[in-house]
Amino acid sequence: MRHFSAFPRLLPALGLILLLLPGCYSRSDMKSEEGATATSKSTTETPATAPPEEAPVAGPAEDASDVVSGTAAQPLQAVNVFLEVSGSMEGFMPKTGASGENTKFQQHIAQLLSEINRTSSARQKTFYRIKEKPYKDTYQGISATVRSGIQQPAKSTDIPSVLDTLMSQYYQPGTVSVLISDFIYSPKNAGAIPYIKTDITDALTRSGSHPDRAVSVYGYTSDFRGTYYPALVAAGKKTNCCDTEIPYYIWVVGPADAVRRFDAALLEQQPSKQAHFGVTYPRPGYSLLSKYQNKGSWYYGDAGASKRNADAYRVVAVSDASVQQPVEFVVGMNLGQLPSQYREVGYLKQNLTLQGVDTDAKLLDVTAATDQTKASSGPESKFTHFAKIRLTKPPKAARPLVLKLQDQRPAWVAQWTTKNDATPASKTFALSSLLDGLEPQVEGDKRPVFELPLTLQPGE
Amino acid sequence: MKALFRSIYELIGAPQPPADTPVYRDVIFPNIGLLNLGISLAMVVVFYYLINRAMGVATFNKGRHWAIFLVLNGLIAFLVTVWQTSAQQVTDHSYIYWLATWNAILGMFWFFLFSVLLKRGSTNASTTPF
Amino acid sequence: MAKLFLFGIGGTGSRVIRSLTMLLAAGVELPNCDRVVPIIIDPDAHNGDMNRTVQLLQSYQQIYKRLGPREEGFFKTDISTLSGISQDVNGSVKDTFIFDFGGINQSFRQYLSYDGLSVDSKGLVDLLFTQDNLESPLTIGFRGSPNVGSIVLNKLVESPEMRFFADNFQDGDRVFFVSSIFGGTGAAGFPLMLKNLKDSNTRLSNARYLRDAPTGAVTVMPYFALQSEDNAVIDSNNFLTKTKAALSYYEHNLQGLDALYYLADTPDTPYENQPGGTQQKNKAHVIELLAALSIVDFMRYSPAELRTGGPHFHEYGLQTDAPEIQFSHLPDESREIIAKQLTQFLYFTRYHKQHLPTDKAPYADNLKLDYAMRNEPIFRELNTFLHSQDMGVDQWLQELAQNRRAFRPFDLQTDDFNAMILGKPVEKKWNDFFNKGLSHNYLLDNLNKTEKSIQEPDNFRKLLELFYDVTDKAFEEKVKVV
Repeated sequence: MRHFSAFPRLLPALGLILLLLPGCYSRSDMKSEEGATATSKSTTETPATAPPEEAPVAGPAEDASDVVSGTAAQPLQAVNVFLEVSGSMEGFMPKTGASGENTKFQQHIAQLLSEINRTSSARQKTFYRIKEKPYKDTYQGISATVRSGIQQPAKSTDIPSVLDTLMSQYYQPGTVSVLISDFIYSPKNAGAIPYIKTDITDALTRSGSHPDRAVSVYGYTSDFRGTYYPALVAAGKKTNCCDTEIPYYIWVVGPADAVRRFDAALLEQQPSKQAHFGVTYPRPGYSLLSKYQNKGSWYYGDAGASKRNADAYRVVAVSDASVQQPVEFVVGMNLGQLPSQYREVGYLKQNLTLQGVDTDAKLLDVTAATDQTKASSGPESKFTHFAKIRLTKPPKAARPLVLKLQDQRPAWVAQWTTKNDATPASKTFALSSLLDGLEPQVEGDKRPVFELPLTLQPGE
Repeated sequence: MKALFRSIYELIGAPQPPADTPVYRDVIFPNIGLLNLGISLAMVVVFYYLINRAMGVATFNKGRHWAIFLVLNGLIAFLVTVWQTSAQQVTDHSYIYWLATWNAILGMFWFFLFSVLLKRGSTNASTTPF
Repeated sequence: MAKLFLFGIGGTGSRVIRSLTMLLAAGVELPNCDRVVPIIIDPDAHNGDMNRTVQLLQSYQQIYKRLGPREEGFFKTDISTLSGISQDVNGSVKDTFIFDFGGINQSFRQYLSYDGLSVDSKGLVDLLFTQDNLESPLTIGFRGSPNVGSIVLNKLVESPEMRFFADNFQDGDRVFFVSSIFGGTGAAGFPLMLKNLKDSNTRLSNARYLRDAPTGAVTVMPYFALQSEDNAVIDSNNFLTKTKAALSYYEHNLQGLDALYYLADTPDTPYENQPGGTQQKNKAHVIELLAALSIVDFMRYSPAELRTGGPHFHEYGLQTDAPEIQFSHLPDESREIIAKQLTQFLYFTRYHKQHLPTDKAPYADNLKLDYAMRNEPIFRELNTFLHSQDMGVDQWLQELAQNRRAFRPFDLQTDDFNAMILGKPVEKKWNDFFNKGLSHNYLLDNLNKTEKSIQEPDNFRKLLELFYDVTDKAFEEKVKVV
């Protein structure tokens, strides 16, 4: 019977073993816990990317704006579509010929109108024809106008007054105004040309200051069959125009958030030239990648770095760095929610900047995701773009490091601008000046597209 | 606790590759450290209290039997490290095996320490290993 | 401090004392007595039986001195020499277990001063003694001639030893005589000694105590035969005749005896005929063991019991008449006295031989056995007591087992503790996975366990206490009854 009586004596040992086993740390445990809380939150608020407490620059307020896709769920209050129907637009919307040919404009705008009419991204959709002032129309009416030509063309429309009207009567929270026009602005005389910018600015601000006002400009070209009215009246109109394609534009005007959402919902998919003024974007998701093209001795310095979901590391802990053995790290960025303009690698290479304190960190390169990164099992698969940063001097203490994307006037604006549109071309008179008027009044107010704060700190 | 294990395990140098440093410091070091302590203690308890007391085995108390447990303990410590590192999916690196070896040495040290502390309570091995 | 004065007379006396020593070493309880004082009376100073008994007694004494009095255990009872019981003021008594005959290396003729005797006396002597008797040297004893012995031994009473004995005799002390009835020394010595002690006109001191002292005797009647040789001094064919003669004398002349034990057996294999000297070293015989048991039995009676209705006469019968006696053949009473003790002692002896020198275990380490067994004299003494080729426990058990009739309760050849008790193997229970019966492991485990609980600074005392406890437990747990 010895071994029976012996068994109870083993119980403490057994208990000890049982106590020790669940005490083990496990990353997967932490992940599942965090994952659970994250999914429960994501429906109501921004994803829980907890701020790294040790990072002095990354304040909680900034991080709270780390919205990636959250607000897209809420539809816009209203969309007001304004189609200019002046004589200069006739060429885009010629009366249907015997051959049944239509212009690219007709094709494009008819489809856009249809999409706007059908979209669930906005509750209320209203369509207007602009003559000397907006006339309310139905979708069917305006669609018919686009398809079968302008019945009674207005004499001329004055862009500043149209903008004034939009701003004073249709500017509402959650509401955007979509203006479809060739934006050929004819100043009253040649002496007024230098004041185009001011005219536009004035028009936009006459009804009051709207700090969150934003304008997205999309440029297209279309074949043109009709009379071409250049901005400079003196040049004289050209009939039976044209052999070249003529530009037309869609301006989306409204509060920044509404404009962004409208852009994302309806215009982003279309290939176009674009420029954005005052539109704000939620900070894209980004993270350090410790195992993607990393070099040298560094690691995630985030508190509890080992336990979080691998998509929000912000702190680079550098154990050692020298010229011979530089530290290179890659920041993965998810720019999928940004307008395509900002996603172009060329644009990023030019305008993505790195601002650091007390460091020689340099932005080496910006690349877009490849099939290889997308197929990877690592966290790099989640990101659309990668910024590689190199430094050779280890930081002495925790220092901020910010990846900033500057908002630059795209190159096409200059290319599409002409000072003399007497000869029809794929250019618009004084386009740059027009768009200058959309810029914020104070130069310093011009905000970057995004700022991605990081922290450099010495390895422990 | 983490700081303690970190200081113990980083005696052989910083974790490699550097990118896995947080995993080693936050997860693997504490895990293998605690497991190592627990396993060493368990092995000592098995040797001194289970075999050489509760089970009444009196002929498994020589220095060589103790050495078997010592080596076994080191081996387990080694394997635990390899297992932990693979469970935490750290990058394969020769450091893992240095760490495992270090852990084995530590395991044997713990085993020795616990042996010295606990051998008195044993019936048949109270004078093992010396 | 009640003592037992044990007179072992002749070769038989020595051999019975040897057996008693073994029993006491095994821890057999001797009640009503703190100390045994064996006095071997044998004029044959070179008698092999006597010498090894004396060696054994001395060894026992050494061991006991170290151990001291205890409640129970091996070597529980004190054995002391006569001189050891008190300070001898004039130093006339040697510190020995042997009665000092003062070196009589004469012939009987010279002892009697035969040549100086008157013719009449010579005639009487010639009538009582043969020519052989007269010519034989006394150094080898009385060679089966009580007529010679009685003359020589009668002188004992006047010896310093007897006076010392009487001087130190106290109320409550007991006297016991061991002798053979068919030999020379014993047959003659026992009635003489008794007569002198109980003599109301004795010149010895403490006469009243001596007279009133509970007194017992065991008389061993023929239990062996000697090979018949034409010129042998001792002829075993005379044993029965001599016995008859002696018994008829005892019938009327044993005054003052409270208990008398008779032991006899039918002879089987004849012993080699050695009349005396160092060659007379007979194998231990069960009859001697039983004689030793009679001493134990005697001591178990209270003085009151002994005095009422005495003298008491005892005989002994086996449960079964077996040529090889195992424990089961003994009557219950004897078995109760010796079976467990002898088994424990055997376990100790065997373990001491087989495992103790090689055990690497906590108990051995804590007792520093490695060093002690090699260096400490007392440990070597124990080794001698247990394993001496000549007189040790091993040898004694061997002899008992080899003799006719054989006392063979143990299988002495086996190393397996489970099989050591013949006819009663230890059952190995299926659930004792690691401790199959009395495995080395079982004993080792218990040695280690028990060692921790014994608070005893002296490692020799501790060792004996430890083994007594462990073998006791082993017997109770694994053997239970024999």
